[in-house]
Parts: sequence; structure tokens; C-alpha cells
Amino acid sequence: MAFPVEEIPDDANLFNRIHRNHFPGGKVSSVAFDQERLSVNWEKYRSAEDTADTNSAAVVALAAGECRKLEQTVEHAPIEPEEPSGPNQAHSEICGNKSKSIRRKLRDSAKLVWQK
Amino acid sequence: MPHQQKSAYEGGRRLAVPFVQASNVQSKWLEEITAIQDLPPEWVYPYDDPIFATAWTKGIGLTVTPLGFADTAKYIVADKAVGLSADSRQSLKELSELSVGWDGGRAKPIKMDVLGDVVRLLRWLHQQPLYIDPFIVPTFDGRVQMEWHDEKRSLEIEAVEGGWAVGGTLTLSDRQRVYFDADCERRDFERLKNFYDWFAGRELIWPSP
Repeated sequence: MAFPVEEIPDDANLFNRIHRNHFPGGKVSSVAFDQERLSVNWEKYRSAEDTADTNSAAVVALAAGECRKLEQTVEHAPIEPEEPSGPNQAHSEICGNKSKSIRRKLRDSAKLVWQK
Repeated sequence: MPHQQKSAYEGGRRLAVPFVQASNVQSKWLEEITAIQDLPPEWVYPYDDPIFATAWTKGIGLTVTPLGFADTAKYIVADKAVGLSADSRQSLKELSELSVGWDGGRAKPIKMDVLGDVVRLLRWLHQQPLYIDPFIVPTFDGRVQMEWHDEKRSLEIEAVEGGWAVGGTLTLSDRQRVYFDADCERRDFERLKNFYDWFAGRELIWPSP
């Protein structure tokens, strides 16, 4: 049975893993948010620790409501067991054009919640 | 280990490159290096300005042999980087070695012409008073972003198609942030210096066009 697609509330935390190349000197680079469809994990189904992978230096939390204020849409996009990288019921995407200033605003609104 | 050098001549200019194994030599190799690698003319050294690729091994530590064309471009960029700090050279070395999918996804390797322009800019900024090294991070599309951060200000200079995208962030005393943006042509170092001066506090107002 497929995972249900749910509405993500504004106060939900979305975990974004930060690649070690984008964490120079212990600071998150705005480059980490430069994806038209930025993959994140909804905290309802996956923890910050479990969001990290072997290349991660850190995990940050973005509030869904803050992303929406920055002209982004937040979509729950669970990955089914038979799909690559599946299953992941937490998988979600922050969608929209991310100009340089929007990337920096995302960076500045992000909270560091896990660090290697 | 003694290092050998091979030179090529074209139109009164000499391109000095490390020794190239016979098996790696292809027809029109000079054209491939300068055209396909998209090297700017400044990288092709004038006849009376020889370079010695041994600087790579001393200053950077890249693998010496065998050399393909991409490796040759790395050597040329690294030779230019010799005047930079050890930290910057190490960053450039690591960036030059990123391969396709370095992020675990679809990220591209870093373009050598972009690294060459970064080196040129940093060498220029390095001459400024109170210069500090930036963090240099790779972008997903095969370019890089330089970043400087302090308590009140941060500056990002990102290589983009045809130039630089510059972003400044000013943190006010009430922790509110003000964001500035600008675009700059690739070789407009004078203007880029103005942005750096803003970050360093020598310019109080964000340089606008």
C-alpha cells in the first residue's frame, strides 16, 4: 500500500543534510540550498540523526512555514519501498526558484540540529 | 624526483606544461588544451615567462604523472596559485579533484577555467591590506563560491555563467539581517575589490552599480 501524501503544517521541522563540502569552518554555506527541488526529511517520520549520511557534516532544520514565506512550496513526497532510496515516508521537497538571497535566507533561518 | 617539462610554441607564445607521456599525446593537443579546456589567453605564458610545473608538487602536492589534458589544466591553475596561502591552495587542490557525483547525486566536477579565475581574483585580493582567506565551496553545477564571514557582515562571491553573483549580508544590532545582491563581470576585479572592502568595513555602504 502506498504511503499517504499529507499536508505538512507550518510548524513542522524539515531536516536537510549538509554535505561536508558545504560546511567549511563549521558554517553552513548557502550553496547547500541551491536546488530547485530540495530534498528534506519531515521530522514526523525521520530523525535528524537518521537524515545524515556518510558524506554529511551536519543536519539543519528548516521550518516549513519559513520556507513558504520565502516563495517556496513544501511538498510531502514519500518514497515507496520499490523506488530508489526507498522506503522513506519522511521524504519531502522544498520547491521553487532559489535566488541567491533566498538561499541565504534559508541558510540564516536554518537551525543546526546535528553535527558529526 | 626530477621533473621534466615540455613546451609548445604557437604564435610567439609558449605553453609550458609538465612532461606528457607519449601515449597521452594526441593530435592538436595544444588546441585542445587552450580551446576545449576553455583556458583564457592569460594562462598561455608568453615566450619569456617560463613556468615550472614543479611548483605544483612543492606547493600543492598533486600527482605528477601521467598527464592528460585535464591534468595539464590543473597544473596550470595550480602554478598560478603558488602565491596564495597554504589553506587556499589546499582548498583549490581538493576542489580540482572532485569527480562527477561528488555529492552522492548529480553534482559536476569543478571547471578548471572557473578555478583559474578564482586564483586570479584571490591573488589580486591577497595584495589588499588585512586580507583574509575565504572559504571556497563547490556548487552543484561545477563552479565555486567564495565566502567570508564575520560577526556583522558576510560576503559571497559565486562564479556563474559569464561572471560573478555577489551577495552581502549585514547583521544589525537587533539581529535583523539586510541582504544585498549584485552581478559582476568575470574580470572586473576593481568592482569585486569594492565588495571585499565593504565586507572588511572599509566601505560602509554596499557598492551599487
